[in-house]
Amino acid sequence: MLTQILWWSGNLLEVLLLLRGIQTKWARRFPIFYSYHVFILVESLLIFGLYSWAQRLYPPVYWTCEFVGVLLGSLILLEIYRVALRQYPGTARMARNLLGFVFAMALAKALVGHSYGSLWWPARTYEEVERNLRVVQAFAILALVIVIIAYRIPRGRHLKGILTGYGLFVALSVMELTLAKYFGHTFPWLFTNTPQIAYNLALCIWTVALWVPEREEAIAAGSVVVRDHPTLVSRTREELEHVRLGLRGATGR
Amino acid sequence: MNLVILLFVLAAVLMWASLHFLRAKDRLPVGEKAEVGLSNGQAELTAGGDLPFLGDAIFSEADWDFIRGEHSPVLTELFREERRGLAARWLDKSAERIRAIREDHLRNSRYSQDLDVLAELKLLALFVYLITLCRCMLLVVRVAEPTTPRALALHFEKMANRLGRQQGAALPPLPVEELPRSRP
Repeated sequence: MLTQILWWSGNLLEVLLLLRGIQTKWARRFPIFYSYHVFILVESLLIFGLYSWAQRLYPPVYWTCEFVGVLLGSLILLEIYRVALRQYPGTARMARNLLGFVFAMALAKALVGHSYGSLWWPARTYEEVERNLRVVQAFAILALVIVIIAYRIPRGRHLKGILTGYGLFVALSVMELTLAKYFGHTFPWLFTNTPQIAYNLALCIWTVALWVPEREEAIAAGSVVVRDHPTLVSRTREELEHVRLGLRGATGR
Repeated sequence: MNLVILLFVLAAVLMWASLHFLRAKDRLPVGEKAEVGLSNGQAELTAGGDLPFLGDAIFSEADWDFIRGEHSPVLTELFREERRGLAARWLDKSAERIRAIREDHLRNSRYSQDLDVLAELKLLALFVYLITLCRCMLLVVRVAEPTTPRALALHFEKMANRLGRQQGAALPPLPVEELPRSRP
C-alpha cells in the first residue's frame, strides 16, 4: 500500500512539474531537465505495466531504464553548467577542468579495474554499477557546487532548486545502494521504498523551486570589470604582497 | 567496510553541500559591486595603506624595552594585555583584507576569457599560506607574548621561499635574512 502511495504521488508530482514547465515555458530554458522528467514519467508507467502484465520482461527493462536515467541525469549537470556559467567564461573554464579531472579519475579507475580482470569497474551486480555511476555523479555535483560557490556565481531560485534536488537524490541513492548490498535481504520493505522516497523528496524540491519565476540578473551597464587574466593575477599578487609585507614588518622591526 | 564508510562520508558531504547551496544567499548583483570601485582590495589598501607601519608599531620591541626599563610588573602586565588585544585585532584585520582581496579576485576572474588554471591554483596557494600565517600568528599572540610571532613568521617565510623555489613564481621569495632583529 505504502509503495503504491509513494509511486502514485511521485507520478503526480512529475506531471505537475511538467505541466508547470510547459505553462511557464521554462522547459525551453532547461530542455534536458524537463526531457529527463518526461523520460522518468514514461519509464515509470512502462515499468508499472510490465510489472503487472509481463513480469518476465520487468528486470531487463527496469535496469536498462535505470542506466538511461543515470546518463540523462548526468546531462542535467551539463545543463546546470551551461545555464549557470554562460555569462562567466572564466568560471566555466575552471569548471570544465574540474569536471574533466573527475571524469578522468573515473575513467582511470575503470581502466585499472578492467586490467585487474573485472568486466567494468569492480562491480559484480547491476546495483554496484549504478552505485559507481552515482558516485561519479556525486563528485561532479560537488565540483560544480564548489566552483559556483567559490566564484560567487549568482544562483537563481531555479538553479538552486535543480542542483539541490538532484544532489540530495544522488546522495540518498549512494547511501541506499551501498546499504542495500548488506541489509537488502534483511529489510526488503525498506529498500523497496527508499529510492522512491528519495526521488519524491527531490521532486518536491524541484516543484517548489520551479513553481514561481526568478529574477533575471544582468551585469549593470558601464560597470568596471577586469577581464584580462594575467593583469588580474599580477594585480592580486601585488595586493597580497602588500599584506605580506605588512605581516613581515610586524615581526621584523 | 571501509568502502561503505567512504561512500557514506561522500554522500553526507554531498548532502551538506546541496543544502548549503540551497540556503546560501546570493551576493550583491555584479553591477552594484563593480560600481563600488575597481577593486575592494585596492580600496581597502588605499584606506589602510599604513598596514606595515601599524604592524611595526604594535609589535615594536622598542616599546617593550622602554616598559621593561620602568621595572613595574603592573605596567608590564597592562602593556602586554593592551598589545595582545591590539595585535589580535590587527591580525584579524589583515586576515579580513586577504579575504577581501581573494573575493575581489574571484569576482573579476570569473569573466576572464583567458583564465589560467595553474595561475589560479598558485594564487590559491598564496591565499591559503597568508591566511594560515595570520591564524597561526593570532594563536601565538593569544597564548604567548605579542612579540613572539616573529620566530613563527620567519619560519613561514623560509618555508614559503622553499615552496617558491619549487613551484616557480607562486610565492616570490622575500629576503628573510635581511629582516632586522631588535633583540639579538
